[in-house]
Amino acid sequence: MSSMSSNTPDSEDGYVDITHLIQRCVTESLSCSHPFTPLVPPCSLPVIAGSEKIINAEKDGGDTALMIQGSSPPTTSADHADDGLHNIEGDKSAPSLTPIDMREAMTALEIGDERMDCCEIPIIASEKMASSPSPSQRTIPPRIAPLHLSDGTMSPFQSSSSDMSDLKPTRPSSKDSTSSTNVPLHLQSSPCPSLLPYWETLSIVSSSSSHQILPLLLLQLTFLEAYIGTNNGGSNAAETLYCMLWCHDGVLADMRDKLSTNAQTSPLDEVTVAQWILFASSIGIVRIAEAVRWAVVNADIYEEEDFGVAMHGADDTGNDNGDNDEQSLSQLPSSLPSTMRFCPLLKRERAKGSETMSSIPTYQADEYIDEVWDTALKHLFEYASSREVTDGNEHDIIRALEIILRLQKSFYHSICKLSELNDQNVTDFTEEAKKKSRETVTLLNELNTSSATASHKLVETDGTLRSVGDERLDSLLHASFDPFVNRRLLGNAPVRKARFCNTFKVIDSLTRVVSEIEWAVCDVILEGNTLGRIMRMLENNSSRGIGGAFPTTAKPKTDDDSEAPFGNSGLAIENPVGINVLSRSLMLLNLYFDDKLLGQYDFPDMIGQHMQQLCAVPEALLQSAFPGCGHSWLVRLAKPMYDTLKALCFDQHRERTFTETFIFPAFASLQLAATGVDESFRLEHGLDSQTTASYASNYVIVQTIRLMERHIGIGIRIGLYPKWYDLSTAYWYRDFLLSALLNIRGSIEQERFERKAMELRIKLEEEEEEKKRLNAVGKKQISKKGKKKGKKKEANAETVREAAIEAAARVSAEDFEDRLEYTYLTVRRHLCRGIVRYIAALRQAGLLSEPPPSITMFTSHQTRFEKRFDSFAILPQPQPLSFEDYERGSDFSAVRREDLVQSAGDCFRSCKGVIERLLQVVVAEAVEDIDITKKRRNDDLYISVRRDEAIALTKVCVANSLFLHKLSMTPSKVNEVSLEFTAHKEYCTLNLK
Amino acid sequence: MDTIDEVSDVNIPAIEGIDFVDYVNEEQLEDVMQLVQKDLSEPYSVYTYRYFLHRWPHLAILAVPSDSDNKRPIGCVVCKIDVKGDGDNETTDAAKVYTGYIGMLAVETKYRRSGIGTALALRAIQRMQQMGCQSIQLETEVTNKGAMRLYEDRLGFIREELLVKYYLNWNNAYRLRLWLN
Repeated sequence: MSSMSSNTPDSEDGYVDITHLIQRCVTESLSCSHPFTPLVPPCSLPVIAGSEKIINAEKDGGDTALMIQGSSPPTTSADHADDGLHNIEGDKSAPSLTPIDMREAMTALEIGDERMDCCEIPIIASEKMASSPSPSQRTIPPRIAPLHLSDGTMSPFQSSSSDMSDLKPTRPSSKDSTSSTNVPLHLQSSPCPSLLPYWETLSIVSSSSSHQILPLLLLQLTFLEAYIGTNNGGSNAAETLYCMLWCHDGVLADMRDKLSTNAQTSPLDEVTVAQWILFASSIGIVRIAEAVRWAVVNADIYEEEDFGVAMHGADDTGNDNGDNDEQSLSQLPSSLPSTMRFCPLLKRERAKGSETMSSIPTYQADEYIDEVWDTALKHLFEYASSREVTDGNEHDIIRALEIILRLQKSFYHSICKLSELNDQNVTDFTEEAKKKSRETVTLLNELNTSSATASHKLVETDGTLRSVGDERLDSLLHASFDPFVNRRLLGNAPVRKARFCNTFKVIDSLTRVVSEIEWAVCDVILEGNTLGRIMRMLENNSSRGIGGAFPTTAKPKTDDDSEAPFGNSGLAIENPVGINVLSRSLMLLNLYFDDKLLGQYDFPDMIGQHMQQLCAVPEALLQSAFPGCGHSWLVRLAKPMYDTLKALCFDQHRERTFTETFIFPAFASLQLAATGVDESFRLEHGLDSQTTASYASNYVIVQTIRLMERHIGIGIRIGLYPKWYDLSTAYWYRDFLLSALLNIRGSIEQERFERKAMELRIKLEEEEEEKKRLNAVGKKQISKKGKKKGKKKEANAETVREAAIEAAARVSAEDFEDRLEYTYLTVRRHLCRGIVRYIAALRQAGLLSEPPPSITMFTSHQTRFEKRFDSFAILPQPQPLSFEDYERGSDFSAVRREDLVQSAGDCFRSCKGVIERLLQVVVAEAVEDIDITKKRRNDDLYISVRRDEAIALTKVCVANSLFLHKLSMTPSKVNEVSLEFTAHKEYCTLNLK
Repeated sequence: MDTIDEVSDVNIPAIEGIDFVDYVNEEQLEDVMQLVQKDLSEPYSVYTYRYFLHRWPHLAILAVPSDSDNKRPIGCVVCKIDVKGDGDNETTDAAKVYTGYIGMLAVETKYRRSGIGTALALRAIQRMQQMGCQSIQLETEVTNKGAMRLYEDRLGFIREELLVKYYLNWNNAYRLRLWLN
């Protein structure tokens, strides 16, 4: 490439070098990325000529340093010598600098943009700022943000003219503090001093001299929801995490001081009920946040980046739980990030209560946090009983506080139990987790109806925290839960601004998160007992996670019609993309552990059973001693099959990518291996290749096609096929795959039936022979002894055959589930075929505009088709379909339009008929006493299709049939055709207008 | 891979009153930044612009009104080329995969609907094609209907992937790709 020259700005031309700033910024951000390490002042770097201006600008609190024009980033790294930044290499006036990493420099500079400062560090209350509130100086870039808020920052709700001196500190500032004097609370030993001006005057009910605690607890729930909530799905994690881990750090540190330093003088008496509650809630939120993070980070779900340890900066490996009396309490504050550093007294008392230290279980931290919750609740009960509360409002407040603490406890334990499963406790712990999650849901429901909760509106419609009108309370709330307090700790990563929901939305969202733990995790672990069932359960969960068959209504339900959860910020609830990040993580965490599937089942054995169940694979193949066959083959299958289960735990868009990247290549090589296994099996048993089914190959191909079909289905769901000509290819390919799957499974089923009948017939015939033989022996004996009266009627061959067929036709519960799945495949094939033909009919009628020629300017339709299904090309079977195949298969030019309409209509009618039969066997939840080999309830965990899904598909059939009728009757009155996915997310209706 | 000297904008219809010029130096940087910042939700730092503009100046094209005295651009496209296999010494030039990337495309509001965006994109695509790219990709917000129409209906991009909450404003994005013959 040719090089281009540009004018190189230098300091003499009014430009300055900002390299030293970048260095400083990087140094600072690196130190800040480890929030649990003691804060160190930024490195003092040598002042470089021309840079004083910038430093002065920084000191002035403005971001004028970021307005430097024409300054070029340094390119001292050899790696970047050819980065096109050659224009500054020739700048001989530039001082020699220590090489820095360009990426760090880039990151450092990214925050230079005001909009990049997404967390909006509050303005500095300096005199200069107050006198010249230039819009460009409204925010302070994080890199020059104060080391802690005590440097003079103020609440965003206070105007620059507000007097911070109103906030009278309730605790003295640290003696050696160098911070400004308007700091209400500055705890010396706190790693991140927090502003909490009314800590000492908190109370259960609000009065002129005290401040109510309930809003604080509700706000903590709001942060928790933002951290893990369904609609946020962890996207807030980076920002809210620090709110979780650091909010009320002052509270925690203060309680730690009280509980440790004053341990000899009844410290617990010094703590008020409200303080106990806030302490318990704060510590609870921290523990829940840590538990969630642990699950996500360890689950390997490709979404852990926001939850990463590096991001948190915490040393999670510190074994503080095992700390004993020998450890100096003075060491705790600086070394331990976990809960227990804040309540050493409780820990010590707990230890005293134990006979020996070794008797403390490994999860004793859970017990200590329980101790905190229980103590807070005990104080709350004592408070309630001592006051003989008669005021209904106060009673509601007390109950709401109790509920919040209880639900925190239950929620925390449901997560912890599922994080601690092993093959010994898997059932007990999972049942316990299920019980806890139900308990949490019940408490959340009660909180939702509490009048005490209703009176607090903490969040604006745009998702920002709301001013409650009381300046003092606002200051308290926003100082206590200051979302900016840790902005600098996030380093220079561009972080999206945290969004919060209103209280009822928070409760609703948390309810869904907790409910998911039950149905998306516990039920699978407890009830998934075969591979086929586990697959179906995970598929159902994936579908349920995105809201089921129906698209979510455009306007989400809110507690207040005038108030959308995120207002008009464009963040209205959209169709969810999967189950919550917490449940996904817990499910993946427990999918395979202790060398067992779900910690309970030998995976190769389970695959073998699935092969027999699904593809009638003979036992002999699974027990073959041939190299690569038998158990080795099952072990070979384990990883790809595990990946297929794993993919089902992801969000659907991620599942699609994962399938393309990892699973299809794995199945491509698996197909080749399966061919070898089949060949070995035939050789081993001297079987004819023409008449013996390829059992192993069949199984792998069935799984492959299932994956391919799902891959296209998800593509349709997430909108990758926007136009009719795109959808036509997708449905056409899907029709082919479904047909192939039905053919293979149909032939397998037929073969299984015949084989079973034959085996039974042989068995019955043998039994008959045995009977005859025994009879003959008996007759001989009788003839010797004398004839016996009467003669038993012999069963003839026909009776034996009929009995065998009847016995072979008998289905097990799992057979019935497979048949239901097979029927559902038929429904989908009818729909795909019908839609393809309907599109062809519309096209033939000239009602669909042809693809614009411009789209083939750089590419061809063939290339578009090939690239759309490119991920299938790697698979040997089924052979990828070509564009020519598509053109031939979808060319109905020789068919009259009436016939085409008739044919499409037939598809929809057939589909509707099958669905009606499905609805007869999938009955309502209330129906009792059903034969599970003939019918299933709608809430059955093992079925592949539910009534709402079936009804949605019926609507697609009916709508398309009606429009087809309209097309056949009055095509001239049709002006417009619109593609709609309002009845079902995967199957469109083509509406004629 | 072809060099910039060998590429040219051929067979792309001109737009009356609009000149298409290449990015030359940092004097144009501010204008480009202003154009892009106004329209795109994602905040880019000056370094992001420099990353594109300094490394691939020939893939940054500006639309300037012919009658403008100050030659201030009213539209721009900023692109780059990624090379797969570039770091592998054993990969031959023929085995390298070149993928174009449209990083930013913006046209001032009052100049829209006159084909300037399409013309800018066409020029950039053609250059990237001439330089050996097999495909061109980009991301766009799902809510940006205008951009989706331009890329899908006029240029033939296909949706490759849904990127949930891809942007800092929480919007989803589609990754679009144009496969070049």
